[in-house]
Amino acid sequence: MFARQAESGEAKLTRRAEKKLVSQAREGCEESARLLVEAHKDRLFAFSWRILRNHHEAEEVCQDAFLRAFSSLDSFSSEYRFSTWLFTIAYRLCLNQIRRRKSKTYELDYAAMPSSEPDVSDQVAESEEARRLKDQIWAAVDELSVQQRAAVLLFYREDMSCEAIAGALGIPVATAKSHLHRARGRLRESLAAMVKDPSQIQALREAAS
Amino acid sequence: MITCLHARQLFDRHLDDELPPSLRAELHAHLLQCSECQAEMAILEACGDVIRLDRREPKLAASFTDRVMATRRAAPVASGRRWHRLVYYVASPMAAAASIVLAFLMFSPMLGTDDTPSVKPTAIASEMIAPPAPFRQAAMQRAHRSLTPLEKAELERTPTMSATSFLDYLLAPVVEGTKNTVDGTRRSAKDMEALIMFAFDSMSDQLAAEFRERYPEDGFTPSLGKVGSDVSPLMAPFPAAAPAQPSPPAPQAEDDTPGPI
Repeated sequence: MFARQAESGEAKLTRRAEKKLVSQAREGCEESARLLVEAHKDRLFAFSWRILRNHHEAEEVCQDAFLRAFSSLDSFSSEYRFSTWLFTIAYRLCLNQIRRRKSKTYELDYAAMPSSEPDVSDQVAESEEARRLKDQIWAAVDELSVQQRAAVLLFYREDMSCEAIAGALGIPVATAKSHLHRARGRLRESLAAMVKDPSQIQALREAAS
Repeated sequence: MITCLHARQLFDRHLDDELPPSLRAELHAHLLQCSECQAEMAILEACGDVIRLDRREPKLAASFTDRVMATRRAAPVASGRRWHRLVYYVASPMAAAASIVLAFLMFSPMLGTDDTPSVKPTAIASEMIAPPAPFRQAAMQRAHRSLTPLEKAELERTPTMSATSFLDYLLAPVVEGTKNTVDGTRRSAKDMEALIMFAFDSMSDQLAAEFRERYPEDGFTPSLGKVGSDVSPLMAPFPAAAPAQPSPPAPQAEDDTPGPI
């Protein structure tokens, strides 16, 4: 799985490498800017897509987030992680997008729902049972509120601390924790309802890792 | 030994990696001998594993990066905006000051035409050539606050000009261009508009000249653009205006205000 991440360019930059690229991009180095996009685009898109569940909107949000980040590189303080900043911008853009939706009809990406777009390698490696449980977890993630979903994704996918999540979502740390904990509670309930035997969970964890 | 209830209260802190070592050891000890709590924890951890590792989102098109880079090139905001932003931040409070001056200059002659005694337009004009120090200081402080730390650092590196003289330098052509109206003669709004535009153009020229002089190697001339047409016929019937007297600088205004451009 990790090897696959690296192949798809999802390997995370170290703090130091990120800092260097940001300072070169600030000086106008196009190649560094390109590397920053390459290093973050898949994770940023996955995050935006999970929040919006619409490919086109998520892609627009990603593009806009990069352009905004680059246009204000001058005001970006190197104390922060560029990646955290990028997710902050993307999250706000997602919220704007959701607000805009209220006034018009929109479509979710049912065609791209996890259960109907399985990865070939996953299909081979995991049992039907594990797949069913994974689907259940993702369905439960979709049921979470936007803030809970964002908190869960940033925590597990981006390895952000509760403080960093609070910063990215623009909420107090206690609220960020409460979103994360409530989200866990709901995911647990939803999965526990399907699990009859602890060995199923063991199989699921093995399939996931 | 902790109870099941207590153990479950610790789950979230454990998963957040915020449990002190002593409690973590207690929790582990409890999990080892309680299969129910163990199953609960396994479910929570499994959820985390799946979210962390299971990547089934659709993928971005391979051309995404190229598209972002091309859009960025089409609008190179980061480098092009710096100068623009500085002028904007520094000049906007002054634009406000300038419009107050112009408003007084435009309406004062009209106020003076009825029988009620009014403030003498010339007095107002000379007071307003340089806005009162507290106003000027507040405006400049506001401008300074809205700058980012990087812009402030940039300002500090650039050759400094005191805030007062910069204000005068921007306002002088405006005032001078419209000064002929304060000698008691009334002008039509159309004439006034032409004069204001002329003043704006002079300001633009002066700004460009100043920039060329300071940064000849830049080969770049900022321009506020030209908005007016030739106003010499309007100027002709009036005696040449005396150059606007810059007011004495307000000493406190120079300490904490940026030295722009």
